[in-house]
Amino acid sequence: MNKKLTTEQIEDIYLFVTKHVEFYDVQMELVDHMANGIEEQWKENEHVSFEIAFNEEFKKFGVSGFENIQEEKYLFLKKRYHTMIWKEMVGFFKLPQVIATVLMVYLIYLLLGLMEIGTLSLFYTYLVPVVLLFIIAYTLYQYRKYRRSKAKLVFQKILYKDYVAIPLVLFNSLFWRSVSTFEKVGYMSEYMRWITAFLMVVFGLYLFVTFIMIPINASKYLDEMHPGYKQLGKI
Amino acid sequence: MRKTNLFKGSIHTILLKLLESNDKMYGYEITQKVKEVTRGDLKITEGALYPALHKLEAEGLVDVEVQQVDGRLRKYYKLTEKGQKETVSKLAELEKYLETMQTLLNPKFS
Repeated sequence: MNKKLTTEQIEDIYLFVTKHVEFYDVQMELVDHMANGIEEQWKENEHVSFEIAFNEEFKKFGVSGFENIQEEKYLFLKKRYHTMIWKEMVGFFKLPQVIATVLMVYLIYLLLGLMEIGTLSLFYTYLVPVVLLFIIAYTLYQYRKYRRSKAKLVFQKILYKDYVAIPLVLFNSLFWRSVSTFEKVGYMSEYMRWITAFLMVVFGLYLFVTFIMIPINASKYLDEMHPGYKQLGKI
Repeated sequence: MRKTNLFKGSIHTILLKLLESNDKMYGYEITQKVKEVTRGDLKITEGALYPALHKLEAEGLVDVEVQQVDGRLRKYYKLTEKGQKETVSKLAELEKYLETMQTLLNPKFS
């Protein structure tokens, strides 16, 4: 009978791996890899201590350790996030939603026609804290809801950081740049009003999808992106 | 000779080929298998293996299956249909490359 790792030792490996890698499917495969390596060493010599065997095995990952694996995985995942968001956006467009979207664009177009540029920037200035407060409150609510599931928290974190926070900052700077241009000209042309209305609605829709719709279906996407999510609950 | 460098570019092809002949495999098994088949001449390093596997996974060439073994979860990789097609074309590519190298190294003067 070959010497096997105890549950505590596997737990130790797990704790070590989770410090360096945040995606759970990668975590579990690295834990398994390290465990296999250590047990293989014990086949040769049973008397090697767990710590020495562990260090020996970790050395094989080179100077960058798990870092490189984590980073590359993150890059591959981004592509999955893009497809996921794109699919959700396209899936959103059924007939009633299309009509509602077109109406929204038209409504904003009309509103922009009624407003002076100064009023628009003032309105936007008031809108920003309201939206920010809502985002912070909703993020906290999501965090409380999912704090037991690390996998979901990681999923949410990437979504909110890369696909909500950064786009918001970009949109904001684009908005102010446009406003200052409009102020110089003194008015907004018909054409610009349509474009602005369209962009605002599309961006609003994008936020709705990334911020609300996708987190609701997080479990489904998690199992697609990191297989084994369903099994995780059974251990 | 730095043996590993020679094979750097072909790691994806090697992985696909291994999975083609072995139904499903997990990471550690792959490193051992490569060592065994090449009698230690070629070692796939851990730091290169996993990113390569994850790349194949992201491209939909392999599918993943998770099983519980010895109190831990094991992640198995297996070829998808797309992966099988890719294996055929990658192998053909590699063969063509080897042929070219052969002619370069042993030119026949006629």
